[in-house]
Formats: sequence, C-alpha cells, structure tokens
Amino acid sequence: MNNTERKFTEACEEHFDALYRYCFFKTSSRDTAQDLVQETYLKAWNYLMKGEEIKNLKAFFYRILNNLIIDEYRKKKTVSLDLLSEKGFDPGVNETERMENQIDGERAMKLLKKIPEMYREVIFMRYVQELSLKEMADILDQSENAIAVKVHRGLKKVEKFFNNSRTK
Amino acid sequence: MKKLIKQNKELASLVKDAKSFYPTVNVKHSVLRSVFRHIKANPLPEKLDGANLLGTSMLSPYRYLVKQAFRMRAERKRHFAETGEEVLFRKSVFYLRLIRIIPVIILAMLLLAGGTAMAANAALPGDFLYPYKTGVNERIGSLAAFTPEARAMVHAKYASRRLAEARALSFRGEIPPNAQAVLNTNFKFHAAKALALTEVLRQKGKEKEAEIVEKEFEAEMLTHKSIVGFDDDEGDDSLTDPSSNNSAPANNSAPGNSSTPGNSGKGKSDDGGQNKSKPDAPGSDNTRPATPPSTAPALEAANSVPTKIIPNKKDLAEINALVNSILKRERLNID
Repeated sequence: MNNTERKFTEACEEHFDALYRYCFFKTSSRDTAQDLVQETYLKAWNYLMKGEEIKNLKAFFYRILNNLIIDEYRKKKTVSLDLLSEKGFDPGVNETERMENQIDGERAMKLLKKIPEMYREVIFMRYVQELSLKEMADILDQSENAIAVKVHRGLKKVEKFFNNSRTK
Repeated sequence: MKKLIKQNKELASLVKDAKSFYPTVNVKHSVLRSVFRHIKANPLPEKLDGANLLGTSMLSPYRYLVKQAFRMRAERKRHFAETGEEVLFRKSVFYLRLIRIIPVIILAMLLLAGGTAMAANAALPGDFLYPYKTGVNERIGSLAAFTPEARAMVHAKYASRRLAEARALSFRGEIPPNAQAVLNTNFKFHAAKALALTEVLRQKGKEKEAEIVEKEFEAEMLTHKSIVGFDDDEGDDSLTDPSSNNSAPANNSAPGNSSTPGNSGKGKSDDGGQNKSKPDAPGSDNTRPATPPSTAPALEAANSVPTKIIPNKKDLAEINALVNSILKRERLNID
C-alpha cells in the first residue's frame, strides 16, 4: 500500500461519520446516505487515478457529495420533491439497532431542517460539521466573506424562528 | 460553540444532539470495505507511485498520535454502545497513555535543562557546570541577540562576567589550576567580539549605538576595576610578558584620555569604510583605547588581588588581533 493509498483510506475513515451525517441531513435517508458516501469515495479515487492532484481532500469529498445529492434530488423529482421531504420527516425507517441518542440525533436533524432553506446548509456545516469558513468557501465555491455573512444572518433568522416556535 | 450557546441556546442544544448522530459501525465498515476493495482492484498507475497527490498537509507526529488515540477511543465506545461487549483495543490504550506521557517527559526535560542552566549560571571556573555556562548558556544568549548592538552588548556583558568570576574566585581563596588561563582566553574572546561589533556599528554609520555600547562596556569594566590590572610586577604569572614592564607606565597616562576613544573612533571610522583591503590600521587604533582607560586606574588595586586575569600588554595585542580577525570576517559577511 503506497503513501497515497494509505492517506486516502485514512481520510475515508476519518470523514465518514461527518459525510454520512451531512448526507443524511440533506436526503433524510440512511440508505441514500450510505450509497452516496460510498459513491463519493469511489469517485474521488477515480479522480486520483487520473493523476490529478487534490489539495484538500475533505473539501473535495464534500463537493462530490454535494453534486451527488443534487443529482439524487433531480432523479427523484419526477416522483415529487414534496413527497420525498415528507418521507424524510417520517421516522418509520426500519433500523432495529438504533439507540436513544441516535433518536435524539435524528430528531435534532429534523428540527434543524425547519431553518429556512437559504441558511440551513451553512448553519449545519458551520456548527454541526464544524467546518471552517475556508473549507466551506472551498466546498460551496463562494467567498469566505459571503459565507460568514450568511451564517451570521442565518443565526439571526434562527433566533426569531425558534423564539416564535418555542416557549416565549 | 460557546459563542453559539450564548447566542441561541435552543439551536446549540439541537446542534449538540445532531452531532451525536452517526452511522452504525456496520454501515461504516461495509462502505469502507467496499472502498478498500475498489482501491485494491484499481491501484494507482505505476507512474504515480511516488507522486504526492494529496497535498502536503503534514500533521505533526504528536497531533497525529492524539488524533489516532481519540479516534480509537471513540470507536471503542461506539462498539460498546452498540453491541454491549467491551473490547480491549490494545493499541488505543497504548496511544492514550503515550499522548499523556509525552508532554510530561518533555516538561521534565525542559525543567531539567532549565534547572541545569540556572545552576550553571552561578558556576565558577573549575566547577563541574562551568563549561555548560560558557558553552551552552552564553552561546545561546549570544545567538539570541540578533542586531549587532544587542550582540555587542551581550559580549560586553560576558566579558565583564569573566571579571566578576575572577573576583569571586579570589574571594573564595583557592584558585583551580586552569582557571586563570580559561578566564583569560574567554575574556579576550568576548572583549574582542564586543569591540569588533562596536567597530562594525561605526562602519554602518550607527555612531550613536556604537557609543552606547562602548560606554556600557567601559562601565562594566569599571565595575570590576579592582581585578583588572596589569600583570607587570609579578614574575610568577605565566602569561606575563617581559615587555609589559615597560609598557605599564605608558598606559598609566591613559586615564586622562578616557574621553578620547569616542572622538578618535569617529575620526577614523571613515577610513575604515574606505579602504577595506587594509582594515588593520583603523581597527587597532579605534579599539585599543577602549580598554586601557578603564583598566589602567585599577593598577594600584592590582597588587591586592590574587587573580588578575587581564590585561597585560600582550593580552591587549592579542585582543586587537582578535578584533581585527573578527572584523575581517564580519566585513565579509556584510559585503
């Protein structure tokens, strides 16, 4: 196993949880998340095989995954996007070995999905995934500044949003 | 994260919950396994074997260890949570211990080195730690000074330290056999460095700084004037030059001229800059007066002190020669 392979597999292992969570957040399906993350890894490896250089593997994974998720949306659009998202809110997925905190986690994700779409992604990336502004800029192809502004506004929106929906 | 909690508790708790969402070990392993299989089936082309395709983001070894340790611990915990069986990952325990022990070892080493350095600072010639003091502590000190001014100051300080040590030795009563020679050489070295650096300062047009250093140096010499004397009257001093008997009176007149070195230095510094091929003449003229004014007044006190390390006429000549050789080197560095 040469250096590149070792580094790559280590990165795969390291980022798996985060990528999976991110994908689940966007697609609301464990199966899709699993498939898409796997697909991401394979695509990234094929890219490397062409002799291309990847500066930041983490950001690269997210970019591929993002594209795959968009493709996934498009594929299902023929069925109905609403139906898909509704299905996502339905917790009746067959997962027997799920545990308490897992349920908490899923519930939290679903609540987070109520954040207006514009800010949902950046807030999730910034706080749950704990990506740096620079990494987010790399992934989303926007300037760091723009993302910082977005996160800031998103936080304000969220404040209003949660204050309205919750006790207060 | 803290900031977020302050801003919005609700969101913070959601974020915390969301972070606890992760795939089951089975899912993770099945994906990773198929990826590994894919990599094995499609290895990189041979020509890319040595290529660095993934950038050069090197983790420091310690950070790598920390990362490994925590990742393995998380894995173990998750495994326990899902299956209920406690698996001992030997490696993880090893790493966790390692990352705890390494800082302790480093700290202990630092403390040891620091303690030695502190202890060494009080060492006198002949002491066990004295070589550490001159060889390590002072070398680090002079390396840590970057500007010529600072370096000149440091060397002046070290030269005067040698004098202080000579005095301390004489108070102690017993003088180790080599001490005198060691102190003498070391003093000459530092004095020459200091003088040479002052000269360099002059040539760079930093007259003011040069004068400050010179004054400082003189002041240091004066502090220890009781030890500074000419070894002209005692035959038993091995370093004594027979000619110094004659030269001592000549130097006696120096105290009256104590204000001249600065002036003469100013006058000659231009020459030094112009004819680089012949640095000896201005160099020796400038630097020679710098020591005698301070050393000569101590002549009377000389007899009462058993260790007079410096400087007799011969030593002064040696210092000058050293200054010149250093100056030559410095000049090479400047050009």
